[in-house]
Amino acid sequence: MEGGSRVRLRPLQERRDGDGWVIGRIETGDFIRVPDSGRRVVALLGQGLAVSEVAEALRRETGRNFAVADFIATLDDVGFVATVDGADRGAGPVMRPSLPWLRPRHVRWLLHPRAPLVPAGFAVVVLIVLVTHPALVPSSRVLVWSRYVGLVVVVNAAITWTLIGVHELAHLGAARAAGVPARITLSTRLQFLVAQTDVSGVWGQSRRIRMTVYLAGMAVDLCGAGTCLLVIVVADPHGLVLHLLAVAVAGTLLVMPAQFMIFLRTDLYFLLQDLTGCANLYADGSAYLRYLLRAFRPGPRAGRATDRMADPSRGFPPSRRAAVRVYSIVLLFGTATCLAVEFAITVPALVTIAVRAGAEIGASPLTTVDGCAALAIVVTWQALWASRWWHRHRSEVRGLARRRLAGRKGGEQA
Amino acid sequence: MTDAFATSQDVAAGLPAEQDAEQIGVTRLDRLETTGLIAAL
Repeated sequence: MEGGSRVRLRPLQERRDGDGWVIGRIETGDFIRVPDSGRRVVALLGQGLAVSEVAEALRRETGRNFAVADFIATLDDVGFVATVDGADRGAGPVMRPSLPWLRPRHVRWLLHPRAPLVPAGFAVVVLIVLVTHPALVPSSRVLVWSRYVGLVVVVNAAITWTLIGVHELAHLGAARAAGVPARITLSTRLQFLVAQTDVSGVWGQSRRIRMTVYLAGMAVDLCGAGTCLLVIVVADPHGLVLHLLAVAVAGTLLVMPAQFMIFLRTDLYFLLQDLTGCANLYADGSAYLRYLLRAFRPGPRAGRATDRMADPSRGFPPSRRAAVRVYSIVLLFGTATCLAVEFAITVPALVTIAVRAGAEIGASPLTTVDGCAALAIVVTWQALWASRWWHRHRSEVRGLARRRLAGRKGGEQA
Repeated sequence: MTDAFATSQDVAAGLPAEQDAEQIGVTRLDRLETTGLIAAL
């Protein structure tokens, strides 16, 4: 690229964000935060000015000499550049949205300013019903509603997947209402299998819309739990219907507190990240934690990496620095607690289910089917988690393996 | 990167006047992936 080069950018969305600007592509969800000078470069390029003309205009306006070409190269790295002197820069990967037929006009009502009143009303209903009918307070006991373990596991799994599907559809619907092409996939957070909705395009939206998208899943959870509780109280069902409604209530209200596990990048994590004005709280918190762990690693100080490594939060504004430092502590203790619970409670429970299911096999045709169904669900679940974990982390694992291998070869040659 | 831009250093090298210029800070924003935890039991 020369000074006279003309750069055409892709259609970009932008909004004011504090003392800077958020700019990005809604169709890919790639967004950056830049100061006023960066936004001005984007605007001047949009007017058809050559690179050197943009730099000159900026120098005239501000009295400062900016590295415009470097900035344009960064824009190219994130896929914002369409052509340089007419040469195509390649479209790059574009998100394939889930439910592409769902148009913003179908779900625009989700963003109505009074829409939050609906889940707020259901929250009040849930509270009143649970206070006036303490027997309906959900517990893990209602999840075991039959002596057939396979039947329980299969039906509970079906209810759980339905609830999660509705939860993610709420995120997708709220994002789509704002014209954002969201995508639902399966992934992992530590030992958990999760459904996740990529709504990165909402970075370009107002704070009210971003908050609505983050909280839409929990809002629909409250509506679902409230509806089930109302049906139980008003219609007074018995038998299987009552059991299934109780499982749905428990599956919602017992799982909802998990959203407070912000160290897993849950819905409330994104709310917190937004409110603290952080661009990437998890990455910044992880970097600060690595810095702390190296700083307090036992051993001789001389020559240690810490001596050369600066505090990664040092350059942040005070409020953001405090948020990153507190989050790094939450990240450490939250992760340790989560893994401890997995090995102390979840793994033994899974083993118990597998043993009980195994004992059912061969006793009678009915129990054999029941035991096989339970084992199939447990094994499928673990296989799905392993598959999604590998999909999420394979590049890191391969990179680590390559570095180890290169280090070993280097050591042998030395 | 393709032919037009090899690296940001190459781009800067093409414009000598920018060698000592002030960098424009860019922060890449995290992907927003809302989650629903699927209980294992």
